[in-house]
Amino acid sequence: MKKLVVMMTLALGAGSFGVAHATIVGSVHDFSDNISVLGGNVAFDENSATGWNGRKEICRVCHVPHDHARASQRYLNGLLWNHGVSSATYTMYNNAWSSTLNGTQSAQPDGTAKLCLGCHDGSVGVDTFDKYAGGVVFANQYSPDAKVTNFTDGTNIDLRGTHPLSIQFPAGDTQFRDPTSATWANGGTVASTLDNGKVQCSTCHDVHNQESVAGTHLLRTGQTAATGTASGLCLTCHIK
Amino acid sequence: MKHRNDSKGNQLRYAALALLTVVSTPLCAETGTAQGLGIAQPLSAHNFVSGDVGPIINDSGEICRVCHVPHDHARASQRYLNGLLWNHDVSSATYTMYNNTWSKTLTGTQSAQPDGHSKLCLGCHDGTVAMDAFDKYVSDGTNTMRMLHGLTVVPWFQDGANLDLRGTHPISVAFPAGEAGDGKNFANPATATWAKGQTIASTLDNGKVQCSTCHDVHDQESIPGTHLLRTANSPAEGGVPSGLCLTCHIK
Repeated sequence: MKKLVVMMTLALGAGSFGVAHATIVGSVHDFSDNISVLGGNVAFDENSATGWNGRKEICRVCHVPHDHARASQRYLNGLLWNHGVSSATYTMYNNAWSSTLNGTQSAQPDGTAKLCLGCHDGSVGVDTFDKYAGGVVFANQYSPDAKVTNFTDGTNIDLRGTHPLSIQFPAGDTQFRDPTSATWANGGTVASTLDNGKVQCSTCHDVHNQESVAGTHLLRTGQTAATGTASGLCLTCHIK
Repeated sequence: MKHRNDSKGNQLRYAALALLTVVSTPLCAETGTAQGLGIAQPLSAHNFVSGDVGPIINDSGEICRVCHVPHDHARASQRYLNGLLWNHDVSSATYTMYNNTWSKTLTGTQSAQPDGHSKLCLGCHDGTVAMDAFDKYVSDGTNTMRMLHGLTVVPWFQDGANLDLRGTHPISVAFPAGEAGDGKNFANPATATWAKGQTIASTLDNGKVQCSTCHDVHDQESIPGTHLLRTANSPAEGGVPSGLCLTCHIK
């Protein structure tokens, strides 16, 4: 019996293994240390590649409680947005590209994906936020993985090399699990991570690092034996 | 867990069975066969996790990644341009195609070279590209299907140099529109079905017959014990004689 209890404890432990009960504090999106991309904490200088977040606030890089009335009216992106967004026109993964695609695809990235691409398409500086013009510090200076990988050459904005985003979850398609019952590692449903029913970056990645698995790219479910099961993230939605 | 009340004898039997399974795994996994229960099944032909099928070529420990990746790795080859978030090298071979010149009975329009899904399959199965040439990994070029699993190369390609596809059923060929459902040559792909109920039409690729028309790479709709066939082709496989062929061909 004792052995049984031990095994059950282990099983329970394995079930929650690696799920970070963490927050954005100290995570990859916490820029409050005002760290230089060249190394070390430095004094604020909004127009250099050194410190660019002198106020050392975490939320302000993306959100602001009162819009700063800049011409771009960033708040119109929703979520009290406070960061520049990209004006790029992307080549989308769509039904013309893949005839197996059933979900309705937006003509261009929308919703929360539009916000992510504000830094992660590499065309807008991470320091382009709040009242600052920015444009000096870019995501890939922090990590080469920070840009949509296909975009690393700086000119390619072809989204056909990345999983479809801004696309409706294909309701009723037997190749997919029911998003209202399929769950990520932390127990949340897939449906709860859709954005107006659409798959976005945030469906797989948890930007605020509250529901992501430690040691991953903020993934909601691990992809390997070390962080979960083999291709566990993919197989959460895809029946293969 | 459910065995916790078993007798000592049973426990021994389970241990022996487990040992037998471990020992016999490399043998029965030599080519990997269909389970019909999905690609994540152990020993499913395309599940390369932990080297279940053949040698370990997949350090990533992921199933999907050998063929697909959610974000292209921006390699010079831009594999994603093959579609389906492709993440494996494809062959640069030029094949001799089965076409109307070769067989004047062929009425479907034949692509000049393999395209669509077949191009992806041939990335491993023509024997020229290493299985471990995927994702960010640089292959040493030795782990080709031809070297590892002779039987899983397009059979005609065994010698490693022959790229003549006239010895294999036409691929990248449009289902012959004029003869589809004519009652004497071909079944109607919109209504004729494979063993698990899918229509032939649903297994065409832009209307073309490809490898994936007969073979189910993800092992969801295939007949256990076959080469991932969508319909058994013999009584031994649990079907009727030539059941696969006769799903399309009226003979």
